[in-house]
Amino acid sequence: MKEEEEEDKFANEWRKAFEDVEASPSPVVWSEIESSLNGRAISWLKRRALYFIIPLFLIVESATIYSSLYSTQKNKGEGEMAGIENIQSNLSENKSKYSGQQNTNSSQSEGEDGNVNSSQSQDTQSSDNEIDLEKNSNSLKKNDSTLLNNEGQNPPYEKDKRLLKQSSINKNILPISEQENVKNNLSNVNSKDNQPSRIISNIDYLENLSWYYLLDKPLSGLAPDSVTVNTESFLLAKRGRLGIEVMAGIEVMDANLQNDYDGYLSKYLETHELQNVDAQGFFNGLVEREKTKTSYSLAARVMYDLSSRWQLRSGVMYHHWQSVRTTNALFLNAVEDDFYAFTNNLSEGNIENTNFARAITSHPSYDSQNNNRMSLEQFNEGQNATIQNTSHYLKIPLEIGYTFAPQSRLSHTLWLGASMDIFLASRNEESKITQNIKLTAKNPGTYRSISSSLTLRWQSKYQINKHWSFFVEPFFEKGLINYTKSNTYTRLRPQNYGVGIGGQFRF
Amino acid sequence: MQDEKKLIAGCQKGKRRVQKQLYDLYSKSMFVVSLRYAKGHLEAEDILQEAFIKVFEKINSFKGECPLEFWIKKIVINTALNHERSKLYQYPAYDVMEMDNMLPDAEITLSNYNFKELLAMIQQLPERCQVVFNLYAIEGYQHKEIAEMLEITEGTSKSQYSRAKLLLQEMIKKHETVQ
Repeated sequence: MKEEEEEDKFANEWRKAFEDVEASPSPVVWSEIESSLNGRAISWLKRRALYFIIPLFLIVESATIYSSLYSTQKNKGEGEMAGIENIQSNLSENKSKYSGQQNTNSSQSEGEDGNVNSSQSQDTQSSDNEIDLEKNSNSLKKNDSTLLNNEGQNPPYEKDKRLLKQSSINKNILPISEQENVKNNLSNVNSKDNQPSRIISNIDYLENLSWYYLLDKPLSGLAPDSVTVNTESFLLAKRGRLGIEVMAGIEVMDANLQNDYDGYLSKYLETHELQNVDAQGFFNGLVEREKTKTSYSLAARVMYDLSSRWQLRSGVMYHHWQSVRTTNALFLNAVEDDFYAFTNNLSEGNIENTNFARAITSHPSYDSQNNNRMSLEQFNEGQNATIQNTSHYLKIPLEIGYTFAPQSRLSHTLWLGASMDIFLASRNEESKITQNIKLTAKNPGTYRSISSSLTLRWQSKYQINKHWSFFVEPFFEKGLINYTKSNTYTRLRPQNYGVGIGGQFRF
Repeated sequence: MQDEKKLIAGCQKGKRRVQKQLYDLYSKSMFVVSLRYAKGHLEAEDILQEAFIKVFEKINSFKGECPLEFWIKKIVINTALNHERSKLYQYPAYDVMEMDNMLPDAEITLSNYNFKELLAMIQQLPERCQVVFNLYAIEGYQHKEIAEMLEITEGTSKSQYSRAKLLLQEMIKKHETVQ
């Protein structure tokens, strides 16, 4: 009974001690709760959106890469594909040649009726003739259609495709073996359909088809009447080698900050000739968390085409990085008036600061008779610091890119390179510490002012016209060298990933 | 009371502003609860964060059968227990008779200690002792209830409490000697 009463007294004392006691959590807690709640609210939508976005992305990517490869394969003749300009000029020549022939035939046939002036020469390129050609072409199409249907032959555009192949032979587009086959097939067709106007019609169509051919459009299912010439697309292929671009991006930066606290402590103890302090495992209970915050970047770059697929790029990028770090390291209950002694930023500059020494020596567990019993629990009394870091960097990248589908409007370039990173400034803020830490390029603290990174980027670009295009660019960058001076114990090797959008101008 | 109803209704509708108000109202007292069950500040913040997410997710199931603060506190305690459950079984349970023989008779008074000092003492207790001590001494649960909550025997709960008591008395004694 007495024991129970005693227990109640003991419990009551503690219960009373904790009655109406309040303590403020760090503001990070609410922001974490909020982001978690936001995340859950849209997670339903996100999950479902992903079901559509991922397959759609894969289909579009596969289609463009496939069409790029298909186009390349088709355009390779005995050795190389003919130039686009040659195709264009050859088609024009053939058109005028066959126009002449058609005019001659036309004048002959119509001359028999006595309705047409026979003085229309082979070289005439008047608009009247074009109209006549169209008329003849249309009438022939009708005849062909009837004829072919009656004879149970292929539909007209199949023949046109064969003619396209012949056109390709002229320009060495097809391999020799394929050319022979096509020639044999066509000899029959030509002997049967020895009508120049039909050939002109086909050449018109061929010309149209050639655009599709060049622009990676599928041939199947295209009727001649539905084909339109896209001259702008042709211009795309003639874009300049030199280009400039600007990009704005959002990114997430992970600083990968590592503090070698044991190193700092050893150096401190050595400096102050403190002996018999149990430095082993002194920081075993260290808890540090780094929360990345959305940062942003701006870029201005110049690129140069080495070939139709390979490109070089350089320029300048500005990065504004933000992160929040929470740590329980080295928070000392030092002096009553100045509760916190922030010694986390120990460096050569402030290792001589007596704050740390005073903190250790004033600690109740510190024993000047070389009988130290200090432990982490005694040092860190449940306190922590939330440090907001803002850093500014310039990067000068040099990248090489390989482009998929270089002749279509939508192209994709994989960029790989390295950058020289120039530290501009940094600022560390902690609400409990009045004297915040500001670093500048001239006085970069424990960090190097110049370092380097590896860069990997995927640029998906849509070409609007000959000069302008816009792009989306997911990227990943990782520091190659630690941002650390040789004799300090703070290492920083940032890695960042994000996505940028921008515009490109080709000269 | 009316305000509390408004808060609950707002939270049930998922209004972020009202959720923030509720958080501001109870986070400070609940943080003390989570601090008592945690080993440090960061762990306590993790517990608090997890608990409040649960509060906002389950607020629709709150029927007003008990005060809101009590309901939230229960969620915080449960979250803390789940958080620590894996650690609870790492420490051996002392026999109750053995502990009884070790109990000092001296009475204690805690009025000379501030909250931080007392909190530091609780946080220095071994995990299982810390949980049992919090549940029995401060929350006011009976050993039988604690045994069910922690899936241990009633005897183990009592022995853990005795051990906690002993350790705390030692700490207090040591602190007084230093001063």
